[in-house]
Amino acid sequence: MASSLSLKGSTRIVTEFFEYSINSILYQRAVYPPEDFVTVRKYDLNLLKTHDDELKSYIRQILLQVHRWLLGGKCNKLVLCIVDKSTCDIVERWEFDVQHNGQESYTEQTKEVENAETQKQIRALMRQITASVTFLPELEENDNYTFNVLAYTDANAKVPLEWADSDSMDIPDGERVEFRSFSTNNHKIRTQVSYKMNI
Amino acid sequence: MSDSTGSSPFLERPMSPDSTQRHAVSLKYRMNAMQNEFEIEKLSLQRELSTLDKKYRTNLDELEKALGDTKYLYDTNTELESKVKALEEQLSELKTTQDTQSFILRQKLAEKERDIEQLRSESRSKVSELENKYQNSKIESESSKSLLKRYEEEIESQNRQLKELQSAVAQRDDEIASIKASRVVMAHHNYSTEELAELTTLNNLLEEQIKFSKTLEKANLEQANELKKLRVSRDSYQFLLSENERLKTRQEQQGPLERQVQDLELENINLQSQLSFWNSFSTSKDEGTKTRPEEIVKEWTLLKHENLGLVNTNSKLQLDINNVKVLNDELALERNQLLEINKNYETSILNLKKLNYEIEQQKLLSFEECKILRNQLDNLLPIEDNPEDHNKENAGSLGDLVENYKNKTEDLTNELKRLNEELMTRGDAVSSFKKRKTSDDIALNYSQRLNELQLENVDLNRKLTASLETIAMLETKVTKLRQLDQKKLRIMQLRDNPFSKDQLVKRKQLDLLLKENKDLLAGGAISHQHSVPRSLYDRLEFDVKQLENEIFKLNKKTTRLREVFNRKSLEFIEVVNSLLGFKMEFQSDGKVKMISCYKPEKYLVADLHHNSLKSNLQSDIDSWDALLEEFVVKRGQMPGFLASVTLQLWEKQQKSLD
Repeated sequence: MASSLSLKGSTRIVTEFFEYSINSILYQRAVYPPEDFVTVRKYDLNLLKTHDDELKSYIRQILLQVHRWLLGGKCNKLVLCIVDKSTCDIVERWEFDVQHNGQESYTEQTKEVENAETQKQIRALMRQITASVTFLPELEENDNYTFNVLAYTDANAKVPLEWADSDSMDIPDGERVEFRSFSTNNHKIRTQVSYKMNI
Repeated sequence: MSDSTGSSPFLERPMSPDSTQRHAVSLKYRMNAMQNEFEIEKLSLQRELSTLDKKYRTNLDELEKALGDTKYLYDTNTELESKVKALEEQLSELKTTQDTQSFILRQKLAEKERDIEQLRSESRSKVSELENKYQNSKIESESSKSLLKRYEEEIESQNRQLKELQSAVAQRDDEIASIKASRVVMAHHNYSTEELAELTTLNNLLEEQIKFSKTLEKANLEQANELKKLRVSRDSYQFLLSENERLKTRQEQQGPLERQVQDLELENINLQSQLSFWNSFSTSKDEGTKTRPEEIVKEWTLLKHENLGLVNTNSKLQLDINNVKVLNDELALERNQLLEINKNYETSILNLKKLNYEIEQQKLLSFEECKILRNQLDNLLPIEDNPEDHNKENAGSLGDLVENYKNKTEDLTNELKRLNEELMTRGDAVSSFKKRKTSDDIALNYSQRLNELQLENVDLNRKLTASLETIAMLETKVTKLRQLDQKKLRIMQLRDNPFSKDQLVKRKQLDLLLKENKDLLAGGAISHQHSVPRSLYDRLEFDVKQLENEIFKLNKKTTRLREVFNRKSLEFIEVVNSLLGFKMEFQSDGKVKMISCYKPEKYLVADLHHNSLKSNLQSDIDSWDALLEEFVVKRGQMPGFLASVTLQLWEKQQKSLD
C-alpha cells in the first residue's frame, strides 16, 4: 500500500514537473507570446504558466496519458520539439529521460526529507531551463515556430486512439547540453537539450 | 290295450291303421309346426345375423376410423414433437443471436454516444466559427458601406470639381474666341513690342490652361473609369454577399445531409460486406451460375434440416454403438462365465471318467473275486462231504487261500494305481483341448484389451488436439513476442498536435492552390469572361478563413494585452494610492481625478490642459485658500500642496476616531 502511494506521489511530482517545464520552455523560447502566460508560484520560484485554453487543454491531454503510462512504468522518455513552421526543421529538442527505480522501503520522515531534496533539485533544474536562453540560439521571427511533444513508451503499452506513432524527430549533428537531474522515490529524471546551430 | 290277447301288457302290440294315420297326421302336423317354427326361428336368426353383421361392420368402420385417428394423432404428435424441437433450437439460436445483437447494439450505442459527443463539440465549434464569420462579415459590410459612402462623396466632389473645371474651360474658350476676334480686328494694326510680348505670354498661358484642362480631362476620365470599376466591384460585392448567404444556407442544410451521407455510407458498407459475404458463397460454387441470397438461404435451411437429421441419426448411431458396446461387454462376461462352466464341466467329465474307470476296475476286480470265490466254493464242497479227514488240511488250505486272496487284491490295487498314473500321464493327450481353451481366453483378453485400447486412443486423440491447440497458441505468442523484440520502443505523439495542425493547414492550402492552378490552366482555353472556377472561390474562402483565424488570434492578443495593461494600471493606481494617499482616475478629457484615502467621498480634479484645479475639499480643510496661495500660487509646488492636504485630512480622521 505504502509503495503504491509512493509510486503515485512520485508520478504526480514527475508529471507536475513536466507541466511546468513545458510551460517554461514555451515561454522562454517564445513559441507562444508572453501575454499568454501568467506568473505562478511553484517550487519557491516564480514560474510562468499559460492561460490559453487551447494550449492548456493540449498539455493536459498529454500529461494525463503520460501520467497513466508512468504509473504503469511504460513511459521512458518525454521529448518536446520546437519546429520551424516554414521549413519543418527541428530547431530544439528537449529530452526528459525517465528511469524507473525499484521500490525502496522508507519511513514518513525519510519521505519528507526526500521530498524536500526533490523540490530542491527541481528548483535548480527549472533555474537552469530559465537560464538556457543565454546560450541557446535566438529564435527569430515571432510566430514562426510551433512545438510537438513525443512520448517514448514500451511496445506493449496501451495506446489510446488519440495517440499515433511518430518518428524520433532528431536533430542531425546538433549540439547537446545536459542539465541537472532530479530523483524521486521511484523515478530519476535526466534533462538535456539538443539544438541546431546557425538557424 | 285290450286284455283279450292275454299277453303281458308290457308287450308292444302292432298299431291299428287309424292310429297310424292319426299318428302320421299328428306327426305331419308336428313336422309342419316344427318347420314353421324352424322358418320363424331361421328368419329371426337371419334378422339377428343381419343386425349383428351391421353392428360388426359399424364397429369395424369405427375401429378403422379410430385406427386412422390414432395414426393421424401419432403423425401429428411426431410432427409437433419435431416442430417443438425445431422451435426450441430456433429459440436457443434466437437467444444467442439476441445476446450477440444486444452486445453489438450496446457497442453501437456507445459508439453513437461518442459520435454524438464529437458531433456536439464539432457543431459547437462550427456554431462559434459561424458566429465569428457572421460578426466579421457584419463588420466588413459596415466598413464597405462606409467606404462606399466615402467613395460616393469623393465622386460627387470630383464631379463638382469637374463641372467647375468645365465651366472654367468654357470661360477660357470664350476668352480665346474673343482674343482671336480681336486678333482678326487688330490684324492690320501695328503692334508695339510690349503688346506682342503680352500676346505671347497670353498664348503661353492659354496653352498651359489647355494642357491643364487636358490633364484634368484625363483625370476625369480615369476617375470615371475608377468609378465604373468601383460600381462593378460593388455589384460583385453584392453578388458575393448574396452568394455567401446562399452558401451559408446551403452549409446549414449540409449538416443533416452530411449525417444522411454518413448513414448511407455506413449502410453501403454493411451492404457491401453482406454482398462480399454472399459473393464468397457464389464464387465458391460454379462461377457461371450466380446464386441469389434467397436460394442460398433456402439451401442453407435445407442443409440445416439435413444436418439436424444427420445429427439425430448420428446421435442414434452413437447410442446404438454404446448399446452394442454394453452388449459386447455383457456377452464377453457371459462368455467368460460359460467358459468357466465349460471348464468345470470338463473337469467334472474327467473326474467322472476317472471314477468310471475306477468303477470298471473295481467291477473287474469284483468279477475276479467272484470267480476266485466260486472256485474256492467248488473246492470247499468235497471238503464238506468229508470234514473229519481233512479238517487239518483244510484249515491250512484256507489260510493259503486267504493269503492268495490278499496277495491278489494287493496286486490288483497296485495295478489299478499304475493304470491311474498312466491315465494321469496320458493327460497330455488332451493338450489340444487345453490349447483351445487358452485360445478362447486369449480372444477374451484381446476383446477386453481392444476396448481398453480404443478408450486409450480416444483419450490420446483428445490430448493430441489439446496439445495441437496449445502449440498453435504458443506459436502465435512466440511470433508476437518476436515482433515485440524487434520493436521494443514506440514513439507516440498526439494526433491533434500544433505541428500537425499547421502542416494540415498548409497541405490544404497547397492542394487548393494546385487545384486552382489546374482549373485556371484548363479554363484558359475556353476563357469565359464572366465565370471563375469554383476552386478559386474555395481557395479564396480558405484564405478568408485563415485570415479570420489570424484576426481572431490578433483580437485575442489585443484583449490579452489590454488585460495586462489594465492589470498593470490597476497595480500602478494601487501603488500610488498606498504610497501617496490619492487614488488616481484618469479621465478622457485630460483631467485627473484624485480621491484621498482619508476622505473617499471628496475629490480633487486637476485639468492638465487648462492648468486648473477644482475640488470640493474646501469645506473639510480650514486653511484651503491659504494653502493654495502658499504652495500653488507662490511656490508652484503642487506635490507640497497635496501632501499638506493629505496631512490635514489624516489629522482630521484621527481626531474623529479619537
